[in-house]
Amino acid sequence: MRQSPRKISLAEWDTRYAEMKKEGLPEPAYGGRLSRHVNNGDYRLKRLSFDNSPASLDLWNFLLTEDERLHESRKAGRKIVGTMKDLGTVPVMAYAFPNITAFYPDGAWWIPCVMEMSAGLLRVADSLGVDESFCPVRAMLGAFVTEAHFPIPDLLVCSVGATCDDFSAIAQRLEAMGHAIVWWEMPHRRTPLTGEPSVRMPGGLEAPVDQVAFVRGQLAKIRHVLEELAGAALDDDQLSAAIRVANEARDLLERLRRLVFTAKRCPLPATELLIAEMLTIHFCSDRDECLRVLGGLLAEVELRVAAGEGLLDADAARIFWVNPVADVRALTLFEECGGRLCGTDNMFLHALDRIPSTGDPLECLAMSALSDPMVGSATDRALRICSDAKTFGAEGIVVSRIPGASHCALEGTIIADVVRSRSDLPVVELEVPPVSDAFSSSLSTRMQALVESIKQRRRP
Amino acid sequence: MKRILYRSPFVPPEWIAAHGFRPSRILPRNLAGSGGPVPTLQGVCPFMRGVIREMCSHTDAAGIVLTTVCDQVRHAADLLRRRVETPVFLMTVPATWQDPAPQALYLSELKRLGRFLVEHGGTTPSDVRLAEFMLEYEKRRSEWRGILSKCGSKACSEHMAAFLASRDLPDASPSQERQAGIRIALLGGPLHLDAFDLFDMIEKYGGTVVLDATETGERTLPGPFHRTDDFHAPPLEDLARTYFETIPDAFRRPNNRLYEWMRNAISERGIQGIVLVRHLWCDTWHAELARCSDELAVPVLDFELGEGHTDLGRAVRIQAFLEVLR
Amino acid sequence: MICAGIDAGSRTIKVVLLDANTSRVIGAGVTDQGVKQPELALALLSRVCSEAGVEKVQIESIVATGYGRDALDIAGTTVTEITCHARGVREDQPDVRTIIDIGGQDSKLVRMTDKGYVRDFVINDRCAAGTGRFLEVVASRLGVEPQDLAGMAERADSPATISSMCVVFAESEIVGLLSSGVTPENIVAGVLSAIASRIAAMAGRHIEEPVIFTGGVAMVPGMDKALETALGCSVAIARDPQLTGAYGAALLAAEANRFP
Repeated sequence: MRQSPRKISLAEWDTRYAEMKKEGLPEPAYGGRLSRHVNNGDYRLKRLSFDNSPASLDLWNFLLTEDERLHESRKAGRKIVGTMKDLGTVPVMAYAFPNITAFYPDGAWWIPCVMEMSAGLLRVADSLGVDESFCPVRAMLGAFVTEAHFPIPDLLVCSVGATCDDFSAIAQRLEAMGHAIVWWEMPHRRTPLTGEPSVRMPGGLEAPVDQVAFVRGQLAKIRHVLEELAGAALDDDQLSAAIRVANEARDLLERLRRLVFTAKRCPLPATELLIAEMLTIHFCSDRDECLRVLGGLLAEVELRVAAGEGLLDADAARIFWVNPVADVRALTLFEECGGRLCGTDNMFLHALDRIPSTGDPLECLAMSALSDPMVGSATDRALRICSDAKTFGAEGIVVSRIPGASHCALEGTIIADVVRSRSDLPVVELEVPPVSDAFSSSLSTRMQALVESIKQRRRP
Repeated sequence: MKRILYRSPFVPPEWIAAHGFRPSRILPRNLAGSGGPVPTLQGVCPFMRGVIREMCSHTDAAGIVLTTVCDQVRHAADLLRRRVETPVFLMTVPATWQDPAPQALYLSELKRLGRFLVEHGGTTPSDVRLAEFMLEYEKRRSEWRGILSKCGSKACSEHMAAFLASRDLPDASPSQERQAGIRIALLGGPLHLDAFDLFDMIEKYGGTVVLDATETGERTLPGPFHRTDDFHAPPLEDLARTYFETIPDAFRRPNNRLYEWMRNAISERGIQGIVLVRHLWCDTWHAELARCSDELAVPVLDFELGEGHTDLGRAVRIQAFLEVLR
Repeated sequence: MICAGIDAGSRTIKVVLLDANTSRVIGAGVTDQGVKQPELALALLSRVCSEAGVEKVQIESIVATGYGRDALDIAGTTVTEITCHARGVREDQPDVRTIIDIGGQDSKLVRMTDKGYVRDFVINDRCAAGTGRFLEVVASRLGVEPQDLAGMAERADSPATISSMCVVFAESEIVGLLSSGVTPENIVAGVLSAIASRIAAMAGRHIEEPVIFTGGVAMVPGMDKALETALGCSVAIARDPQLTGAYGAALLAAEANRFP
């Protein structure tokens, strides 16, 4: 059943799936042929290439069946919470309740890509006055209107403040459409003043004690709202246990990332790694299964690395990738152009770093939330990028701008500025729209040129 | 007296003045051109770029104060720190307001701003001194409010802009006569100085601005202080409460207070149409456009400021809007 | 050993023939781009060979570059324009630190290391405002040929301000300027300045000299001066700027043969 790693097309996966079934492939409830999702409108799959391992098949199937799980949760009487914007904090708390399922409506930003615009979500957003000058997360508005992609949550929670104007404005529009939102404040993370009490936080960051206390207070408010929804109190032991489980997922991902970024030959495609990162943020609506899927993927990658197996050319250019792409096809293109990932900052590193686990659990969560790269200065973010790029041996940096995202234009400039002042790594900025086919030539020119310049530098 | 440059209406100038500085609100004159420290990139707000360009040009300033109300300005603080020697202070202004914690955070940010000002040459004010400045500004705002409720003229907006930029009163007092015409409200983000011509354009085509609810207008004048006659209690708390609670804005979450305020104004001033002024790439106001049309019971004109719009094109929009209202 | 570089750009195809043994250019040519790109490139290559007295079979290695590079089956290798322009410029000016390439449909800014490698680059291929296309639109609106624009810019006494970031809207702006009495010469000078501003925006704050200007637009007199004003530094035009990409491709073809 196990084959040497390689990237295969959707059609090849069908053939491989039939063979694996014959050989007795054990499958989870959401398993099945990958191509069946195309029948549900996920047309983009036809244009992607995939890792050929059973673990990756599980990963894709798990991702693409989240809506089914949410509907099953609703049928089973579980409460559904839409957690918005914080990317990695409130879901940890929500999953501490046995009768709550949490998910990120923000994830709708990939629907226009995966369904190649067929769902019409962006058209709905346009009609609500939220046009293409906003980031692709505006698809979320369409998803709330059509109700075709997730059930309307019992509760909506959204962090605002030093986050992102696009999302804040879109969420406000959603609330004005009648979807009540519990807002919580995320202050801009600042450098402690001289002599001001401060704490060390995940990602090597530091913040004033007062700021952590403030965020803790905001999360306490959210805990109370969740308790009311669940009809049960949440004690610190339960919350600590939830943090431990979240950290299990983060530990798995950390090991996976390190192997993928540092292995001599790349053992996993960029798209599968991006999906694994996303699962870790929100557990894809089933925390236990998420752990199993991540564990399976890690085991496969460990086997490959131990065997010296890989997917891409051994001399692929080692690139650190900044920001998620609206069209995952761009990552396939990136690998076709001769690149491989050696580090990522998809704007949610705080959700991948271990949550502090000693002391007051709510304070630990507050520290995790306050470590969000988005809420601090772009310089802080750039410094982490420089440090991680060095750790993973990256030879170049791609800063992917999110179309319409108001923070990206300047942030990208600052990141490039800092990286140039601290290293001689080439930095290339590019922008990937939700369906990038029309831009594939210009994207590949940029990526190829970056790869060429990296390989030129390698020459003695 | 050294100047402290600031831009947001959530930075109280009386707090800066009480520390012995001249508070100077920066409004760029025009937004054209690509010069300056911020690149003309797709996605970069031209107003913010203009503000940064202006701030960089005042090399004699003792400090720059920016706020977190908009993510572009938040990142601009980062950029400025890398570009200029002048100390930059980034002040958190919470978007939420429903529970006491955000207001307490705002108060603590004002105190932190005070420490910044002292660090850079200011003097910690006594309560009495702060109270005096609060009364002075309150008196000035009261005068403006009186004039604006009667006329809403360009002259008054310019008068306000001039005073807030330098604390010097212009020679001429604003006229208190209002031209007859279709009653228009301006709503939205800040106007740069050249954009004040919008008042003239509206008058030229038969309208009259009866409410300037842009960020540089009447909407962002904080309401009266609660205890202007009793400053035995710390006046800073009153200052914080007044600024935090009484300025309705689109960035607040939720921002329903802005709509309540606008509905009252529409009814009180007989407003017949709204010109929603927004800068290119400003998501905060852009997203409110459709809601304004849905929820405010008067026609709304989308009026974008930034590169790519000619005076002629703007005039056509205003003229057509007024024709429709007529 | 004869090597060739073909630059299949958006508006023209360029060919350079190189004697790799002497590093001497032995032939070069340009033709307009068209629908049948491979045939056009082949015809141009044949013509250039014929003019240089070289048989096509003598060519040992061909590198194609430009946006149409992947369509050219005659090339053994494809390399991006970034690398080719960098290579081409570096041959003549080893200490180059910044390359500005303005072509018909896009513009690029390439930063070089002190060792002569590409450090990084920025490409504008989404907006015509910083490209030769802008000049074509203006020429069409003013009813003149694109090659006439240069002379017009030199006669300007008060360049107009073109504030639109978009060529389509700039066209409307030009109509407005004409109707308000601004001379075509001042409009053209304003357009050159607007293109230069877009390039300056791509360059950001730090621009390292020497700066070399390549691409077809570099042949428009006055454009280099507009760039100097916008960038605040000296800008030198590359030798045969329209051929720089093809020249770099030919050099890379020679290297690939020498160090496979």
